[in-house]
Amino acid sequence: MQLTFNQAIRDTIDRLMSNNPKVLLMGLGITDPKRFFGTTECLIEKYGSERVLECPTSENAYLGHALGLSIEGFTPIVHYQRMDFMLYAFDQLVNNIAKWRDMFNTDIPLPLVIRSLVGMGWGQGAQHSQNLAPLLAQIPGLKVVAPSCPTSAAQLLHHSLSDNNPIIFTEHRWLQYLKQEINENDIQKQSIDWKIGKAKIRRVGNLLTIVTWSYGVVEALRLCSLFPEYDFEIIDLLTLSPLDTDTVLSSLLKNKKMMILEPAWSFGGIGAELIAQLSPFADTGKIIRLGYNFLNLPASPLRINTVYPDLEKILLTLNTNFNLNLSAKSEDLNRWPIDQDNQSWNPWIL
Amino acid sequence: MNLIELKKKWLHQMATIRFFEENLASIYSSQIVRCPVHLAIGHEASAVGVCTNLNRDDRILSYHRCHHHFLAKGGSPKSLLYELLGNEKGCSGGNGGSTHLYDFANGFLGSSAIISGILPVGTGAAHALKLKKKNAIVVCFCGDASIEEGVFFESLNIATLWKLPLLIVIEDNDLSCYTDKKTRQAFRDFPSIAKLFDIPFLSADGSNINDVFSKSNSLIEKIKLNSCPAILHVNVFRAHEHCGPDRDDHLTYRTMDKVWLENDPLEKLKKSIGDDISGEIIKSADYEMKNLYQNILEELGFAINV
Ligand SMILES: Cc1ncc(C[n+]2csc(CCOP(=O)(O)OP(=O)(O)O)c2C)c(N)n1
Ligand SMILES: [Mg+2]
Repeated sequence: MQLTFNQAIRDTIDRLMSNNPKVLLMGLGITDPKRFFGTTECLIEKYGSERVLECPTSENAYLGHALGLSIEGFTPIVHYQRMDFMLYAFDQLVNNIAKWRDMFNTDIPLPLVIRSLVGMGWGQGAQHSQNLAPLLAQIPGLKVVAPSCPTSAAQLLHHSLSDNNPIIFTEHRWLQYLKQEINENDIQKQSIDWKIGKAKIRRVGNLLTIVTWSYGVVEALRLCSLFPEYDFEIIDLLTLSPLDTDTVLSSLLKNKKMMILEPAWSFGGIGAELIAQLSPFADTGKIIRLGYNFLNLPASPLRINTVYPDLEKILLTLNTNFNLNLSAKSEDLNRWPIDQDNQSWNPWIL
Repeated sequence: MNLIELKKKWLHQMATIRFFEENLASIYSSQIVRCPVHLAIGHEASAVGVCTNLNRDDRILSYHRCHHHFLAKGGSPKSLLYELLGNEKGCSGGNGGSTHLYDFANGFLGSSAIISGILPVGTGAAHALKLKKKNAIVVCFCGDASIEEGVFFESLNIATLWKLPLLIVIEDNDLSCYTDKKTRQAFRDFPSIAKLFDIPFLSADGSNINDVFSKSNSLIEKIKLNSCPAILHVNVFRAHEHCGPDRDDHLTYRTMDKVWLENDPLEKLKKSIGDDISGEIIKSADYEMKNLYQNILEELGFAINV
């Protein structure tokens, strides 16, 4: 069966809600006609407004509210249509949710999943497209998850809900409509093949390792499809905190060459953290990183390439650092692999 | 319980809080309490008056000035002192310190040092009680500065919109640290905030425990009857400096002495009970708290006399 990312999320929420009456949905826009990119389709009809709570535009209060529900035994899934809006909720997130159990030295379960969408390009501008997942990963007491395909979305959502810890579940907008051929068993039940805090090797290779996550995985796989003769290894981090440094280290020890491709600002980011953690082993190879330039995100599509690492930049970075000779046709260079309108190429259908 | 018995019980509770705080102030300079403390001296009647109306199923959350709420909800003075000393036997395992108290079993869900930070947690907990069909409420204690935070308004909106059993108690000592209300607040008055949402509101005299008790009682009835939130505004006096063990009258940002003497809730209650009876209760609370401090300090090997 073929399933898109947003359908996988929707079906998983549906399953979790029907299995556990304590699961509640809350957020802005979850009952609007577009149903949060289709991810909450039919849920209010099925579970009613007692369990599917359309919220006022009070991002901070509704997150604190979710914490109160969680303390009292419920499992809220909180929604932010864009991560930028969640900044209002940083107080509840950082000062309360991340600290609640440590501050009070308690081990009460705190099941709480925060679905937060990040954008990119398409004129969304500085305040509607930020990916602040690495910043969130800096905070002890929060786990940060970043699925890259329908299966990982469904599986990590299962795991997030049963984790009993506050989880920030980040979803890239450009992944929402990606299709994947799925074996129904892979998403219906929680599987031990997936774990929060565990990366996945998406492609085994011996030439050079690309470590990435979220939408970056799509770009990395596209690179592989354009250059099948190059034996890249692709690691999909899937969780940014806790970070699976072990999987990355094994690959570094094997291939000695590594690029960390970040769908976010590089400065002080996940790449920086990985490189710092791997530096004791640095004499075994070379690690570089490539992410957004340290600039605010432009609204104009014409200026997008000043910030995002497009294919041209990826190739240039690989060529200069690892003595490769990759070159692509200009129509490939000038196109983003996937966006909402362009589904002509799909890594998960291959 | 008849009123005189109730008053005796109140006096013991309030005196316990008072002596707990005074002993704390007296050992503070020894530096064995390594956390900032916001003493509740002057605020006692607000905590005890409101909590008298609560059952174990009712929850409370509190703010940085929280010792009195913790004790009034049934928290043990011992676990509070251990907490202040950073000891693992403290109510928050010694992790929280003065501003992060916790007693889940007694319905004390937590206190926070971020102004207004617990309000939305309170709406969520109230929502949970409602979903679980419990005949219980959540009380959020906060200071007068909490109204200046946006999340106060957000939380009140949510509580009203979703008809949640929440009582917000504003302990108004006119001060945010050193700054008085008129320098900080532009809205007309407290009742107008409640009017905006059309929810019950009462203002009580925090030096008169009976007033706090009966007004919170009537608001809680309304909360349960109409399933809506309500606000209780309590005028109180903060006897000591904002944060720390001392009086700071010499800083002259306010004139306290006379007002305090006239509005000390403990003195007022003592008077209304009569010297004979109240003298004994005060003596025993004094003795109990001294003993508690002495025993714990001794147990932990601090050579300090209280
Ligand atoms: C969000 C936030 N801003 C500022 C502070 C610093 N601060 C600590 S206590 C306080 C005064 C609060 O006054 P009030 O709420 O009236 O309580 P009171 O201390 O008078 O009992 C302030 C401003 C804080 N803790 N949190
Ligand atoms: Mg004040």
